[in-house]
Amino acid sequence: MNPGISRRFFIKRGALAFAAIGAGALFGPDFLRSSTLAAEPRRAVGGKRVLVCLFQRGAADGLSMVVPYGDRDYYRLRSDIALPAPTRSAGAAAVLDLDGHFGLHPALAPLHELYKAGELAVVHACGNPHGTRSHFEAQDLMEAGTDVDKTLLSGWLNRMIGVCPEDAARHSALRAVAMTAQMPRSLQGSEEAIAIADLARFGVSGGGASMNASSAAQGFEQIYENAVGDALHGAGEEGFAAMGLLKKVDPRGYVPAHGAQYPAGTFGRSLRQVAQLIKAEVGLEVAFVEIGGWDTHANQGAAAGILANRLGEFGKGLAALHRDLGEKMSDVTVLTMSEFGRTARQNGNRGTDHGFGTAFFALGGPVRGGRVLGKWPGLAPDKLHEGRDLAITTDYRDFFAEACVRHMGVSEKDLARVFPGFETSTNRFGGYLQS
Amino acid sequence: MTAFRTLVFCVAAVSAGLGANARLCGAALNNPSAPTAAPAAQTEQAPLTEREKAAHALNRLGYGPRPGEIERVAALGVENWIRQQLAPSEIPDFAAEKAVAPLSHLQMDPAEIFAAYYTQIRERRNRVAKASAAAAMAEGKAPETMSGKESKLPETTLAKAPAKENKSGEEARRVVAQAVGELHQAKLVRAVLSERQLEQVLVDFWFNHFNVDGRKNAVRAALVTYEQDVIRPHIWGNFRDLLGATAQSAAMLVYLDNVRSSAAAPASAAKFSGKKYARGTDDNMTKVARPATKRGLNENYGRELMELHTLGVDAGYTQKDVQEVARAFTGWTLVPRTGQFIFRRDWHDEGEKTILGQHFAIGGGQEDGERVLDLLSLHPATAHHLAYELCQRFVSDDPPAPLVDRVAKAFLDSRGNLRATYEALFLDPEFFAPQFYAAKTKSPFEFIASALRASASTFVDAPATRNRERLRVIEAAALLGRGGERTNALPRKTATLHLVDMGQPNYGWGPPTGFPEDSSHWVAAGALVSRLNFALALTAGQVPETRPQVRRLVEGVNPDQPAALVDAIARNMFARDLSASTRRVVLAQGAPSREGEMSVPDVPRVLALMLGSPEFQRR
Repeated sequence: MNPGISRRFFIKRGALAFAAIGAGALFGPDFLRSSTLAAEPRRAVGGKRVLVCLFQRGAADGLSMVVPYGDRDYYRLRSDIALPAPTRSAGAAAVLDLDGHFGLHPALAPLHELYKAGELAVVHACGNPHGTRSHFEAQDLMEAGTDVDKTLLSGWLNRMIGVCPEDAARHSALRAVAMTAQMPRSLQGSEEAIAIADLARFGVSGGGASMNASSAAQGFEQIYENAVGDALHGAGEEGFAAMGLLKKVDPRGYVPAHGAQYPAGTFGRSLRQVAQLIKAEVGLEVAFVEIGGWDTHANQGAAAGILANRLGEFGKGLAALHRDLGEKMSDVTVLTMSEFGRTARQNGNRGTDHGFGTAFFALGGPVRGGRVLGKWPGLAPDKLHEGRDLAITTDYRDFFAEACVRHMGVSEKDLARVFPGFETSTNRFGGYLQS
Repeated sequence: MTAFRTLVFCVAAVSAGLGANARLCGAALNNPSAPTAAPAAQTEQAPLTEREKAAHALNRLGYGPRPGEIERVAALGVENWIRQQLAPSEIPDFAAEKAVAPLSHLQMDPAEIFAAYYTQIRERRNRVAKASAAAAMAEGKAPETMSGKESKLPETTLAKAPAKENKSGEEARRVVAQAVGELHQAKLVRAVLSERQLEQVLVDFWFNHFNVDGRKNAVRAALVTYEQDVIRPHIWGNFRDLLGATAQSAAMLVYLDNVRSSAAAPASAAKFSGKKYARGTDDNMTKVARPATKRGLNENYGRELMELHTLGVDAGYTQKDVQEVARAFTGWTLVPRTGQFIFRRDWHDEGEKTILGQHFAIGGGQEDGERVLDLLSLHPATAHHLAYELCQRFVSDDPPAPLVDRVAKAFLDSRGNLRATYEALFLDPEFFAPQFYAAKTKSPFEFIASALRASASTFVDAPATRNRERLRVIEAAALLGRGGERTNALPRKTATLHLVDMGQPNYGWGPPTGFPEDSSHWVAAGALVSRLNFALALTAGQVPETRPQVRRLVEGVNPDQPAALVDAIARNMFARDLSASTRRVVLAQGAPSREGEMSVPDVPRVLALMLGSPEFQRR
């Protein structure tokens, strides 16, 4: 497999060539039809579904995000950092009740509204059942879409794009966008994707006084346009196509709708840009966003403190995206993920160390929310993974796979290509999306 | 004609809704010389000219030609040049040595950098402990201020920790970051200025083969010695020595967790391990030289040693072999705080072992591991694996099997002598087969280094030293995946920061596989735009540590003849003529005609367009 040449890219080129050569080209030799190398083209469907993946880098403390206040062991393990159950006397520090057993961290109040509205679901005790406790290894494995295979170089989202049906009219250089400076592992691979940290700055610029930017860009564009027969021809055209589309988006002039207020900082900007791209209808299908700062080894706090501040930004950002998109949210599913959770027991520094299972969220119009899904393993000593961490009862790939199939329309049999070596099927899905 | 027919078939396949052979056809479309797709065309290609051979050698054994160098190598004789490159100690290298000399952190005792890392960790722990105590005293006042991303503590609490200790922790952090930043600077300086081009490429190749990730725990503190003392001195000798040096290196032992691998705990202790686990809390303290929370075997190194360093995946070894190899390496660990290798007999699994069919008797001690390295280093599968990787780096993304076999044979015939292996590869007639000419896409580092060489760029030590030092720290953070805000706040990006933009943070690549040798990995739209921006910034003098010598490129050319000028620049960069279309655009953009009259050519712009052209992305 040559990852440099995207099948979609080829189809695009092929279509152009077809237009140029005409109908005579329809006569193809039979051997091509029977070739075992045949790959089915993506099925074309209508609709404008968008999948947004949000990675919480640094291992987010699931037990503080979605608190098992009904589990007595929780309070035994976390004497200084536990959040009180939702009783009247607990006041504003109390968790926000979800189902009589779990409660949201009070800093996630904006998400509580979405939960009550049925657009937010939780899958608890989720993660990589064979993962490691190294941040980078665990992130790599999760983004690659595998449990242990370190040789897998492409990302699960990229492979998903290769097998999910597309609206034929939506070929777009902005189909898969990471709101990051570097292409995240999740989107690396043969399918076309682009990493743009700041939409307003993406372009060919610089060159000093002697050269104005637009003419330099024009020069490069012409060179790449003419370089037919070169693999970089496609990459160049995609880059310039993205720049062209971004002009239409007008990133600098954007005003969020419905009074939505994104939190200041990179994360808020990333989500705002996702909303911009969706509303501009430039063909966005997959977006990737990340937020760091979850590695709370010391003094993570409870209702207030470092973790609460982080959660506040996280919740406000997601709620702003929801509000900003309004009706368009009916086509959008947001998945959140983190490489692993944190120790069930607080450590000597009132923080938590690297753990295992954590809580993942699904948010959006298509989500059947208002529920905490997944089997709760409990926090009793004999239930903890290796005696210290929340166990994993939902493989993160089952969580991802449900969105692949039920939101993005990947066929069940193609899941094996998204998650090689992993057997998943619809009957393993948690059910946060309508089947 | 062949190309046209291939095109037609592809179109037919797609428009008929079959999508058959899409990838194959795509390859043919994009790379007409791809050996698998167009064998007929291949045989028709003319052999390379001497000029082309010189350019090919400069692009493959080095980081591309400097102005005039294609001619010089062609005049010397390409084979002579290659033989010189194979004996680097005989090549004077003053310019590179002079440019690297001021990078003082590269001269530090490795143990000192390693110790600094631990000072930093210890200081952080102390601060945390002190702050916890302070917070406990000031109870009722919930910490609310959000400190910087790096800090684990609210500002108000941090401020209560004694300033003196903060300072030494800060100093220790700076030492480690500065060392990483300087290491990267040295890598770029040598790639651009060194006359020993092949040596620089090989250091990069073998570092990548034995990849470690500077982001993992103490690895960053061992990067300098890993490249300078573990990789560099061993790339011309015997593979066994290189392998052995990596096996005992702090970087590898930490990166692949062997540092904590020990014989499994006795059965009686294992019984209570669950309880112990729940109580054991000092995760941060056990990163080095102590088996993590409970004692036991860690298979990480054993697996990668066979899969990546020697035999290669699917070479017939089993999971049982992985475990047995891991057992053989139990007790290979580090002296805490200095990062020196030590064999700890009390951690070693002294039981019998069977590895790849060989019996290892009880009580082998450190010799168990040494014997495993002996076995693996001369295994035929290792020879093939290494030969394939070398051919993929130096010849083609999809190297021809007979060539790989010949290189593997040279490796085995010489009992793992690396110089003999390189020689077999570079002096093989197939090395210069026309279908491999300019067939690889440059990696971002290759692109940046070759652009600096093509533009005859020099390195400057500006701005002020004080700022330079901070800059190295920012660079190191960027390579290690942090500090995006600080990077964005810089008025101008250094070459290193451009490199991170293009997706190749050297020393900060997670998977043990290293960066992909298959160069198609680097064909991506976003990264390409970053390359164009680098070309523009460089030629406009906006990459702060370098200055292109634009005048040198057009010496002796009449500036009133734009076409001659464009061709002169191109001749310094490429052995072949620019494609007609690229040349036309460069000429139109670089020397636009106004009212029928050619204006004076804008040399920086001409250079920028050429550095950003598809032709220059190839090697």
